[in-house]
Amino acid sequence: MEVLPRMVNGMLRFNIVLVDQEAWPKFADHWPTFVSELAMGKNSEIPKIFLLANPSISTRNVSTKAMDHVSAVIMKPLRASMLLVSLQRAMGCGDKDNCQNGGAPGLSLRGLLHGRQILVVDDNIVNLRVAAGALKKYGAEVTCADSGKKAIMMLKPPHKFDACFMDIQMPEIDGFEATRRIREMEANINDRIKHGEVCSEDSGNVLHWHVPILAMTADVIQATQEECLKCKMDGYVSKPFEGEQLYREVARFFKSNIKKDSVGQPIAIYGS
Amino acid sequence: MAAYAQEQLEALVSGMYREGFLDDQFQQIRALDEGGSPDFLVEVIGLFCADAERILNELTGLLNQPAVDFKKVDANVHQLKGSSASIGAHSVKISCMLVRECCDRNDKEGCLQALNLAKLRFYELSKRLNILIQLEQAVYAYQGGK
Repeated sequence: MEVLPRMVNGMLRFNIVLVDQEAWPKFADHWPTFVSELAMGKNSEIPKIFLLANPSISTRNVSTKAMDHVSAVIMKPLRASMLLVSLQRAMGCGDKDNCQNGGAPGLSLRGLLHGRQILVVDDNIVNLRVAAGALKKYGAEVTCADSGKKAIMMLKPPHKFDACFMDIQMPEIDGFEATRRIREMEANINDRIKHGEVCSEDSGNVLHWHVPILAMTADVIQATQEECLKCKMDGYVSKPFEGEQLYREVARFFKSNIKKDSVGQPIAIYGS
Repeated sequence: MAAYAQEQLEALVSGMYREGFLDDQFQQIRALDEGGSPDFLVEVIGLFCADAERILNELTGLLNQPAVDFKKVDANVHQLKGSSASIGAHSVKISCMLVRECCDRNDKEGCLQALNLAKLRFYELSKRLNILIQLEQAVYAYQGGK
């Protein structure tokens, strides 16, 4: 709740506020006062509110008066495509292409991946080609490697890659091992940059190296997830790619261009 | 002529879905081609068929040894299952899963039977894929592509 006063005095500006249903009662009490204060201020747009609802709790329990301010109720768990559809609907579609194509995950993936340098690693040439094809379709600049060994060589800093999609089960050096070694190389160079042994210009003007690595896996089981985190991978996606999941994972480390295009400005998230 | 080829193509594809040769992933692959040219599809199908044929031969060799190296069998089947999943070759993928199940039990006879099924399904699939490629290219040519 500390955020609201700062929004009134103009220190913070949001176009969108996502409120968790559990935090809603407290929020709802403050909101009407807040809106009237905002309305008195100059050139302050009243933010849109999205209520994040739990499917097991009826939204009818929520005080109806405050519900007038809610633009939409979004069911939890939050799914990227649903969120996007709700946001676009409520904000009005800023970007015409977005509306025409209608394919929310597809278009936002384009926003996220366009022009990014992506390394895809898989020993299976068919998988490699298909994964590369899909990422290229979204506008990414794709480079392929068919072994963990090559991936390690290509990801030795300094390099040009923004992210890496890595198969797990590969002969010789598997995806886990490759990631472990890549993280070791990164830690090593980060340490040297920190101690001034390497100047950052020599390492591509990067002060801290950490290339996002996503595992590509055909069968996601709990063990795989844990292993992914243990060797410092940043997440995993199913193979072949599934649009919505790919979006969700990629969005975690790429700032979306779509924010600039159609949704705009930062988003505040309230949780309890 | 173009309409006729297009009609034949769609009939072939929908038949392949109905008979379980393909799943939705195949449609995703088709969607990756730009501007109506089937180049990507043709390339990927070519890669898949060559790879599948190689692995099926390898598996036949491995399973006809007196002492079967099930680890190697599993690695090869994993490979074929992966590429089948990538292009949406549903029936081949399913029969790979059968081989793997038998492999887990070190069941040589079961593996051989499942492998035969995989081969049959692959050859049926590749016949149809060849026709599909020809039709795709014909449609593109009629539309003034090349």
